[in-house]
Amino acid sequence: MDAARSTPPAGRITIAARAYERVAAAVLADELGVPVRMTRASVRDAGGALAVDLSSGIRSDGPPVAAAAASARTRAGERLGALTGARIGDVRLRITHLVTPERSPS
Amino acid sequence: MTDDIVITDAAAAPSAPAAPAAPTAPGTPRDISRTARALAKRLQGRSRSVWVTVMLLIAVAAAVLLGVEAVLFALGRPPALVSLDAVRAALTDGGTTGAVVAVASGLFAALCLWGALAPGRTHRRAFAAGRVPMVVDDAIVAGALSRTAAASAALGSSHVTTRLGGRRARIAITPATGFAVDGAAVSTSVDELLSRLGAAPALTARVDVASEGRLS
Repeated sequence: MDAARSTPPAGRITIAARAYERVAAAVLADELGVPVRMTRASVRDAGGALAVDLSSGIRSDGPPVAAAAASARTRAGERLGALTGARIGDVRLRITHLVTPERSPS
Repeated sequence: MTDDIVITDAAAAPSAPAAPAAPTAPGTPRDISRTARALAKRLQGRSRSVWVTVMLLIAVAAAVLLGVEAVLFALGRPPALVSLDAVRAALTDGGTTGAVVAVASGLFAALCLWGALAPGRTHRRAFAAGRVPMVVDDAIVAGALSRTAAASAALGSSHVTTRLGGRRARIAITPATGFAVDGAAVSTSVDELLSRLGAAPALTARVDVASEGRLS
Protein backbone atom coordinates (compact mmCIF):
# COMPACT_ATOMS: atom_id res chain seq x y z
CA MET A 1 0.00 0.00 0.00
CA ASP A 2 2.95 2.27 0.73
CA ALA A 3 4.34 1.46 -2.67
CA ALA A 4 1.02 2.34 -4.24
CA ARG A 5 1.04 5.65 -2.42
CA SER A 6 4.57 6.52 -3.47
CA THR A 7 4.19 5.52 -7.12
CA PRO A 8 2.78 8.40 -9.14
CA PRO A 9 0.02 7.55 -11.57
CA ALA A 10 0.87 7.20 -15.22
CA GLY A 11 0.64 10.30 -17.37
CA ARG A 12 2.32 13.66 -17.56
CA ILE A 13 1.66 17.36 -17.12
CA THR A 14 1.78 19.77 -20.02
CA ILE A 15 1.57 23.50 -19.42
CA ALA A 16 0.26 25.31 -22.46
CA ALA A 17 1.79 28.59 -23.59
CA ARG A 18 -1.59 30.24 -23.08
CA ALA A 19 -1.52 29.26 -19.41
CA TYR A 20 1.88 30.88 -18.94
CA GLU A 21 0.60 34.03 -20.59
CA ARG A 22 -2.49 34.23 -18.43
CA VAL A 23 -0.51 33.71 -15.24
CA ALA A 24 2.10 36.27 -16.27
CA ALA A 25 -0.55 38.85 -17.12
CA ALA A 26 -2.35 38.30 -13.80
CA VAL A 27 0.87 38.54 -11.78
CA LEU A 28 1.93 41.71 -13.55
CA ALA A 29 -1.46 43.30 -12.99
CA ASP A 30 -1.21 42.45 -9.32
CA GLU A 31 2.29 43.91 -9.04
CA LEU A 32 1.37 47.13 -10.83
CA GLY A 33 -2.04 47.47 -9.23
CA VAL A 34 -3.89 47.75 -12.53
CA PRO A 35 -6.75 45.69 -13.95
CA VAL A 36 -5.78 42.45 -15.70
CA ARG A 37 -7.41 43.66 -18.91
CA MET A 38 -4.71 46.34 -19.15
CA THR A 39 -1.88 43.83 -19.21
CA ARG A 40 -0.64 41.65 -22.05
CA ALA A 41 1.84 38.80 -21.98
CA SER A 42 3.41 36.52 -24.53
CA VAL A 43 5.94 33.77 -23.94
CA ARG A 44 8.63 32.16 -26.06
CA ASP A 45 11.57 29.84 -25.71
CA ALA A 46 15.00 31.32 -25.11
CA GLY A 47 17.67 28.65 -24.83
CA GLY A 48 15.35 26.28 -23.01
CA ALA A 49 14.16 28.92 -20.55
CA LEU A 50 10.83 30.69 -20.61
CA ALA A 51 11.13 34.23 -21.92
CA VAL A 52 8.24 36.60 -21.22
CA ASP A 53 7.27 39.76 -23.07
CA LEU A 54 4.96 41.91 -20.95
CA SER A 55 3.14 45.14 -21.69
CA SER A 56 0.89 47.11 -19.40
CA GLY A 57 -0.31 50.48 -18.28
CA ILE A 58 1.01 51.84 -14.98
CA ARG A 59 -0.58 53.91 -12.28
CA SER A 60 0.34 57.56 -12.29
CA ASP A 61 -0.32 58.07 -8.58
CA GLY A 62 2.26 55.55 -7.37
CA PRO A 63 6.03 55.57 -7.10
CA PRO A 64 8.13 56.80 -10.02
CA VAL A 65 7.28 54.97 -13.19
CA ALA A 66 10.78 53.61 -13.88
CA ALA A 67 11.25 52.29 -10.35
CA ALA A 68 7.77 50.81 -10.18
CA ALA A 69 8.20 49.17 -13.58
CA ALA A 70 11.60 47.71 -12.68
CA SER A 71 10.27 46.31 -9.44
CA ALA A 72 7.18 44.90 -11.14
CA ARG A 73 9.27 43.26 -13.86
CA THR A 74 11.54 41.55 -11.34
CA ARG A 75 8.71 40.44 -9.08
CA ALA A 76 6.57 39.23 -11.98
CA GLY A 77 9.38 37.01 -13.21
CA GLU A 78 10.01 35.60 -9.74
CA ARG A 79 6.34 34.91 -9.06
CA LEU A 80 5.77 33.40 -12.48
CA GLY A 81 8.65 31.01 -11.88
CA ALA A 82 7.39 30.15 -8.40
CA LEU A 83 3.84 29.57 -9.58
CA THR A 84 4.61 27.48 -12.65
CA GLY A 85 7.90 25.88 -11.71
CA ALA A 86 9.40 26.88 -15.03
CA ARG A 87 12.88 28.33 -15.38
CA ILE A 88 12.37 31.96 -16.34
CA GLY A 89 14.83 33.54 -18.70
CA ASP A 90 14.38 36.98 -20.18
CA VAL A 91 11.56 39.18 -18.89
CA ARG A 92 10.75 42.29 -20.89
CA LEU A 93 8.23 44.86 -19.74
CA ARG A 94 6.89 47.62 -21.92
CA ILE A 95 4.85 50.37 -20.31
CA THR A 96 2.27 51.47 -22.82
CA HIS A 97 0.36 54.21 -20.97
CA LEU A 98 -0.39 55.83 -17.65
CA VAL A 99 -3.48 54.88 -15.72
CA THR A 100 -4.93 57.89 -13.90
CA PRO A 101 -6.96 57.37 -10.73
CA GLU A 102 -10.09 58.62 -12.49
CA ARG A 103 -9.71 56.01 -15.21
CA SER A 104 -8.84 53.23 -12.80
CA PRO A 105 -11.87 51.24 -11.63
CA SER A 106 -10.44 51.01 -8.13
CA MET B 1 16.83 -57.12 -23.23
CA THR B 2 17.67 -54.71 -25.97
CA ASP B 3 20.43 -52.12 -25.96
CA ASP B 4 18.79 -49.54 -28.13
CA ILE B 5 18.86 -46.95 -25.37
CA VAL B 6 21.91 -46.93 -23.11
CA ILE B 7 21.97 -44.50 -20.21
CA THR B 8 25.35 -44.23 -18.54
CA ASP B 9 26.14 -42.26 -15.39
CA ALA B 10 29.85 -41.48 -15.35
CA ALA B 11 29.84 -40.62 -11.65
CA ALA B 12 28.03 -43.74 -10.58
CA ALA B 13 29.84 -46.10 -12.92
CA PRO B 14 33.21 -44.67 -13.92
CA SER B 15 34.35 -47.94 -15.41
CA ALA B 16 31.45 -48.14 -17.81
CA PRO B 17 32.46 -47.59 -21.40
CA ALA B 18 31.44 -44.26 -22.81
CA ALA B 19 28.56 -44.38 -25.23
CA PRO B 20 29.43 -43.21 -28.71
CA ALA B 21 28.15 -39.73 -29.52
CA ALA B 22 25.03 -40.28 -31.51
CA PRO B 23 24.11 -37.69 -34.14
CA THR B 24 21.68 -35.13 -32.82
CA ALA B 25 18.21 -36.02 -33.93
CA PRO B 26 15.98 -33.37 -35.42
CA GLY B 27 13.81 -31.79 -32.80
CA THR B 28 16.29 -31.73 -29.96
CA PRO B 29 16.75 -28.35 -28.22
CA ARG B 30 20.22 -27.91 -29.71
CA ASP B 31 18.89 -28.45 -33.20
CA ILE B 32 15.96 -26.13 -32.63
CA SER B 33 18.32 -23.45 -31.40
CA ARG B 34 20.49 -23.77 -34.48
CA THR B 35 17.48 -23.63 -36.74
CA ALA B 36 16.08 -20.66 -34.90
CA ARG B 37 19.38 -18.86 -35.16
CA ALA B 38 19.48 -19.50 -38.89
CA LEU B 39 15.91 -18.30 -39.28
CA ALA B 40 16.67 -15.18 -37.28
CA LYS B 41 19.68 -14.44 -39.44
CA ARG B 42 17.63 -15.08 -42.56
CA LEU B 43 14.99 -12.58 -41.42
CA GLN B 44 17.58 -9.83 -41.00
CA GLY B 45 18.78 -9.88 -44.60
CA ARG B 46 17.10 -9.61 -47.97
CA SER B 47 16.89 -12.77 -50.06
CA ARG B 48 19.38 -12.98 -52.91
CA SER B 49 17.71 -15.94 -54.55
CA VAL B 50 16.16 -13.75 -57.26
CA TRP B 51 19.59 -12.61 -58.40
CA VAL B 52 20.92 -16.17 -58.35
CA THR B 53 17.91 -17.45 -60.29
CA VAL B 54 18.13 -14.78 -62.99
CA MET B 55 21.86 -15.24 -63.40
CA LEU B 56 21.60 -19.03 -63.59
CA LEU B 57 18.74 -18.89 -66.10
CA ILE B 58 20.72 -16.67 -68.43
CA ALA B 59 23.88 -18.71 -68.01
CA VAL B 60 22.05 -21.98 -68.63
CA ALA B 61 20.25 -20.58 -71.70
CA ALA B 62 23.54 -19.35 -73.20
CA ALA B 63 25.27 -22.66 -72.47
CA VAL B 64 22.44 -24.69 -74.00
CA LEU B 65 22.37 -22.51 -77.11
CA LEU B 66 26.13 -22.77 -77.60
CA GLY B 67 26.06 -26.51 -76.96
CA VAL B 68 23.30 -27.15 -79.47
CA GLU B 69 24.98 -25.00 -82.08
CA ALA B 70 28.32 -26.73 -81.47
CA VAL B 71 26.73 -30.16 -81.91
CA LEU B 72 24.93 -29.08 -85.05
CA PHE B 73 28.16 -27.58 -86.39
CA ALA B 74 30.05 -30.78 -85.68
CA LEU B 75 27.39 -32.85 -87.45
CA GLY B 76 27.45 -30.52 -90.43
CA ARG B 77 23.84 -29.49 -89.95
CA PRO B 78 22.54 -25.96 -90.47
CA PRO B 79 22.42 -23.84 -87.26
CA ALA B 80 19.24 -23.84 -85.19
CA LEU B 81 19.29 -20.14 -84.32
CA VAL B 82 22.64 -18.59 -85.19
CA SER B 83 25.90 -20.13 -86.31
CA LEU B 84 28.97 -20.05 -84.09
CA ASP B 85 30.91 -18.25 -86.81
CA ALA B 86 28.29 -15.51 -86.89
CA VAL B 87 28.48 -15.16 -83.08
CA ARG B 88 32.27 -15.01 -83.14
CA ALA B 89 32.25 -12.48 -85.98
CA ALA B 90 29.68 -10.26 -84.22
CA LEU B 91 31.68 -10.21 -80.97
CA THR B 92 35.19 -9.83 -82.37
CA ASP B 93 34.78 -7.62 -85.41
CA GLY B 94 33.94 -4.53 -83.35
CA GLY B 95 30.62 -3.88 -85.03
CA THR B 96 27.48 -2.39 -83.54
CA THR B 97 26.15 -5.76 -82.44
CA GLY B 98 29.29 -6.57 -80.50
CA ALA B 99 29.24 -3.17 -78.76
CA VAL B 100 25.59 -3.51 -77.80
CA VAL B 101 26.15 -7.00 -76.40
CA ALA B 102 29.24 -5.84 -74.49
CA VAL B 103 27.47 -2.84 -72.96
CA ALA B 104 24.37 -4.86 -72.02
CA SER B 105 26.51 -7.60 -70.49
CA GLY B 106 28.51 -5.04 -68.53
CA LEU B 107 25.39 -3.39 -67.15
CA PHE B 108 23.86 -6.71 -66.23
CA ALA B 109 27.08 -7.80 -64.55
CA ALA B 110 27.19 -4.58 -62.54
CA LEU B 111 23.56 -5.08 -61.53
CA CYS B 112 24.24 -8.65 -60.43
CA LEU B 113 27.31 -7.50 -58.53
CA TRP B 114 25.25 -4.89 -56.71
CA GLY B 115 22.58 -7.47 -55.88
CA ALA B 116 25.18 -9.83 -54.50
CA LEU B 117 27.30 -7.38 -52.54
CA ALA B 118 24.77 -4.82 -51.26
CA PRO B 119 24.09 -5.18 -47.53
CA GLY B 120 20.47 -6.13 -48.09
CA ARG B 121 19.41 -5.07 -44.64
CA THR B 122 15.74 -5.42 -43.77
CA HIS B 123 16.00 -3.01 -40.81
CA ARG B 124 15.40 -5.71 -38.28
CA ARG B 125 17.54 -6.95 -35.44
CA ALA B 126 17.61 -9.98 -33.17
CA PHE B 127 17.08 -9.98 -29.42
CA ALA B 128 17.50 -12.75 -26.91
CA ALA B 129 14.13 -13.96 -25.68
CA GLY B 130 14.70 -17.07 -23.63
CA ARG B 131 15.51 -20.10 -25.78
CA VAL B 132 14.68 -18.50 -29.09
CA PRO B 133 15.94 -15.36 -30.79
CA MET B 134 13.35 -12.69 -31.44
CA VAL B 135 13.61 -10.61 -34.62
CA VAL B 136 12.10 -7.15 -34.27
CA ASP B 137 11.64 -4.30 -36.73
CA ASP B 138 13.85 -1.28 -36.08
CA ALA B 139 10.74 0.92 -35.91
CA ILE B 140 9.50 -1.07 -32.91
CA VAL B 141 12.87 -0.77 -31.17
CA ALA B 142 13.03 2.95 -31.89
CA GLY B 143 9.52 3.40 -30.50
CA ALA B 144 10.42 1.56 -27.32
CA LEU B 145 13.54 3.67 -26.87
CA SER B 146 11.55 6.85 -27.49
CA ARG B 147 8.91 5.90 -24.95
CA THR B 148 11.50 5.04 -22.32
CA ALA B 149 13.39 8.28 -22.92
CA ALA B 150 10.18 10.32 -22.88
CA ALA B 151 9.02 8.72 -19.64
CA SER B 152 12.39 9.29 -18.01
CA ALA B 153 12.42 12.93 -19.10
CA ALA B 154 8.73 13.44 -18.18
CA LEU B 155 7.99 14.53 -21.73
CA GLY B 156 5.50 13.60 -24.39
CA SER B 157 6.58 11.28 -27.17
CA SER B 158 6.46 14.18 -29.62
CA HIS B 159 9.53 15.64 -27.91
CA VAL B 160 11.67 12.58 -28.61
CA THR B 161 13.08 11.30 -31.89
CA THR B 162 15.10 8.11 -32.21
CA ARG B 163 17.22 7.05 -35.16
CA LEU B 164 18.66 3.57 -35.29
CA GLY B 165 21.88 2.64 -37.04
CA GLY B 166 23.55 -0.73 -37.21
CA ARG B 167 25.00 -0.64 -33.72
CA ARG B 168 24.03 2.77 -32.40
CA ALA B 169 20.78 4.48 -31.49
CA ARG B 170 20.67 8.25 -31.43
CA ILE B 171 17.94 9.72 -29.25
CA ALA B 172 17.23 13.43 -29.71
CA ILE B 173 15.21 15.14 -26.99
CA THR B 174 13.64 18.56 -27.24
CA PRO B 175 12.84 19.67 -23.69
CA ALA B 176 9.71 21.51 -22.71
CA THR B 177 10.41 25.21 -22.34
CA GLY B 178 11.36 26.12 -18.80
CA PHE B 179 12.09 22.59 -17.63
CA ALA B 180 15.57 21.11 -17.95
CA VAL B 181 16.06 17.49 -18.94
CA ASP B 182 18.54 15.32 -17.07
CA GLY B 183 20.33 13.73 -20.01
CA ALA B 184 22.35 11.41 -17.78
CA ALA B 185 19.22 9.98 -16.18
CA VAL B 186 17.63 9.45 -19.57
CA SER B 187 20.78 7.77 -20.83
CA THR B 188 20.82 5.47 -17.82
CA SER B 189 17.22 4.37 -18.30
CA VAL B 190 17.75 3.79 -22.01
CA ASP B 191 20.91 1.78 -21.35
CA GLU B 192 19.01 -0.34 -18.84
CA LEU B 193 16.37 -1.08 -21.45
CA LEU B 194 18.97 -2.00 -24.04
CA SER B 195 20.83 -4.30 -21.68
CA ARG B 196 17.53 -5.94 -20.71
CA LEU B 197 16.64 -6.49 -24.36
CA GLY B 198 20.05 -7.93 -25.22
CA ALA B 199 20.31 -6.95 -28.86
CA ALA B 200 22.70 -8.86 -31.08
CA PRO B 201 24.88 -7.17 -32.22
CA ALA B 202 25.02 -4.98 -29.14
CA LEU B 203 23.22 -1.67 -29.47
CA THR B 204 24.47 1.46 -27.73
CA ALA B 205 22.47 4.64 -27.30
CA ARG B 206 23.50 8.27 -27.45
CA VAL B 207 21.16 10.84 -25.93
CA ASP B 208 21.27 14.40 -27.27
CA VAL B 209 19.29 17.07 -25.44
CA ALA B 210 18.57 20.14 -27.55
CA SER B 211 19.52 23.50 -26.12
CA GLU B 212 16.28 25.06 -27.32
CA GLY B 213 13.02 23.94 -25.78
CA ARG B 214 9.54 23.85 -27.23
CA LEU B 215 6.33 25.37 -25.97
CA SER B 216 3.16 23.34 -26.13
